[in-house]
Amino acid sequence: MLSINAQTVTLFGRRVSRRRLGELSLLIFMLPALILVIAFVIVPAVWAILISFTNQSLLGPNARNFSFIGIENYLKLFNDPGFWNSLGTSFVFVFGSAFLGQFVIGFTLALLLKQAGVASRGLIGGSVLLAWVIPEIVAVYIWGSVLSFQSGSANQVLLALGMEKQRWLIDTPLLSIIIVNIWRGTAFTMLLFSSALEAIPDTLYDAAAVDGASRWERFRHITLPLIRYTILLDFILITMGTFSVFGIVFAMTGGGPLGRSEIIGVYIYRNAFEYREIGYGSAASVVMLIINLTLALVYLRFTRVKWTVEG
Amino acid sequence: MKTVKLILALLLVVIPLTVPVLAQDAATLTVSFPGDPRSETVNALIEGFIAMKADQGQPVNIVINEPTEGYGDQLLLDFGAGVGPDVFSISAETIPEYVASDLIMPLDDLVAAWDEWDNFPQGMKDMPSMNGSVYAIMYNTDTRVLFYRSDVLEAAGITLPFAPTSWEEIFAAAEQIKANVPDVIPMEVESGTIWGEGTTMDGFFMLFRGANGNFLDPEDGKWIVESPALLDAFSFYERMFGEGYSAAEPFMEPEPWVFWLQEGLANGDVGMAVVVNVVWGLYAPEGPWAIENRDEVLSWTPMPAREPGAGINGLDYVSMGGGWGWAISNATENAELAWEFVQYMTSADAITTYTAGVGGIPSRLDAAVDDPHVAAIVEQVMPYQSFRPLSADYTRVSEQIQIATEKIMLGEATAQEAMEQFAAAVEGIVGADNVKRLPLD
Repeated sequence: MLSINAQTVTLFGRRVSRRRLGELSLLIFMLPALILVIAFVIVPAVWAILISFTNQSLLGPNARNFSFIGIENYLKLFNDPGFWNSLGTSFVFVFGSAFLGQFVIGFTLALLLKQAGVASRGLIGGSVLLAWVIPEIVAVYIWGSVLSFQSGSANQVLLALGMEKQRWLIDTPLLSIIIVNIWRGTAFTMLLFSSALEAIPDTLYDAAAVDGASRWERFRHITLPLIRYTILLDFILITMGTFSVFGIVFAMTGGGPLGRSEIIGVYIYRNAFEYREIGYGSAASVVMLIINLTLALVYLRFTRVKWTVEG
Repeated sequence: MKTVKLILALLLVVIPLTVPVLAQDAATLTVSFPGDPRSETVNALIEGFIAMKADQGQPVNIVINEPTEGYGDQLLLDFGAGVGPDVFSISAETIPEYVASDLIMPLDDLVAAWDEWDNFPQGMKDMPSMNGSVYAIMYNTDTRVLFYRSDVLEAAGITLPFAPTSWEEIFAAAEQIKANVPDVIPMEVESGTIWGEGTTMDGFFMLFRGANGNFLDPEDGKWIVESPALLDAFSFYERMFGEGYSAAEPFMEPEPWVFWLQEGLANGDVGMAVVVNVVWGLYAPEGPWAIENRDEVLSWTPMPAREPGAGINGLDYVSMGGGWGWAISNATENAELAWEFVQYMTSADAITTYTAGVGGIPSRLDAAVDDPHVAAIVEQVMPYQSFRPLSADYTRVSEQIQIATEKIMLGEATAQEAMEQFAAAVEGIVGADNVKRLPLD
């Protein structure tokens, strides 16, 4: 059935070059993963796009006898102030919690931890990591008790400092969920950069130091160029990840009060499941998908241009 | 050794696959209901049904699906995917949506021929009915009453037992608590969007019905989006928050019931609360929200209408009832067995067992009641029971009610403005042709 010599392999009586065999086995090894990706990622995504052009609902007459309605869902979506509100909220949320928060804090922590001793590295790194590994709902309970008006620890601290209690979830709901999400997501960025920084050989810094490069110059001309792909990867991952946050906001504020913290994930859930309009909800998801893809493409392009010019 | 393990593993996979084949001669019924905390009791009842059928020489195989979280969503997705159950437990207010989707079987002929149907009080026949057809047999219901802390009211100088006959008396008591027991928040009526349906059912409707409020005009089926009763109900919220008788902040936090009920009422930090009566059991000394001396410090009274006789149908008191029933899928291939199952699960014995195991109020007059609290509720509150409007648009209108109370609570709208915005929003949902506005006197 199978015989092997130097250049060719005989398989079921046919001679196959080793190269071909390599490609074949590659395909065979990839097949299980490929099937899973197709079944659970590609098909549902295509399905959602198809559904977004129908008036399908989860209940009611349109549940089973739904029909193709063209771009009506999209027109309705673009005419809904609630959709634009959720889009705006999402941008603020992503900018605040992914860029200003997770990226800046995570990156800074990674830089500081590189200098730190083993003990403090374990302590700080571990505690940041803790926020990342606990389940979302537990995080909501913790922050619910921190931000509670009557007895929350945040307000207790303010009182102890002689300041007035704040209505965190009423007056600053968006800021509140941004803080919670920074707290939760920073560990990811920190881990990513920690490993990237570890990979830079110390000899480069030593050589630069000998050449008289300042701390900033070493950072600018050694660290940054060597981790540029990590920066890109982190941006893509945290932007997409933050855009699709749902559970923590839904459980924390429900998008309220009066829609002020309604990010797009909550908007989609409300329409698709609470109002049972799965077609309309799918249309909103498709828009979200397009935004995510566009952002990823922009990043890719931006990084390439910038770094080849300065190469 | 490895081979043995492999064979064992294979057997473990293969044996369960063969079981349905071996049991093929038994009729199969798929059943869905929300799991915990009902799981143990309902499963025991189902075992009883299987045993009864086996005794009759008709083996049945019951496939149970009992999600604890997101039961309603899961049921819909199952039906959508064509794998819906034969029999399912349903919360009464969702019946219209299932009727509109043609998923649920009308039971009119079956109940007409059922000699036990008249053991259900009229309300329990009305609740699962729509357009004159019955769609479920209720097995459990609940009521809402005004709970109060006797110790707080006593400290405030209010004569006990507290038995208000109007909203004015409730506000007077709140004023006394505010003045004399300043550490206590005088009252809680569920408000805002976070509490979800609780706000509509336990809070809003307890006021709205008390002002003779009705959403659906029985004559033309239109939604009444502005009415004196609606303004009265919203004005109650406006006064409650405006006068500082309640607090907005805890309603905007995740799990407001923890602050208000599990801790507030339990610790005596809240004076009065309009709540579903099942909390009585939760507050039992051995219950999850234990108040050790519950019977001394916690009392309840029926919720009064705005004034005596001002309530729905001229009643002096009001209560809202929800509840769960068993329904049969329109697509079942085993309708006869499904109906037998429903009859079994809604027999007087089964409902007695269910109430003892899970709580709530029995839906049948001939179910035995051991608990003195439940007996008192059945006697004093059940006669005032009314229900939510049965309409496929209910869920979305209900959300608009929650939003209106949230605006009033946060001081972003007066009662009048909230009602106008509510009217406009409902008009957008059901269409301008399907709403009407009553003159405000």
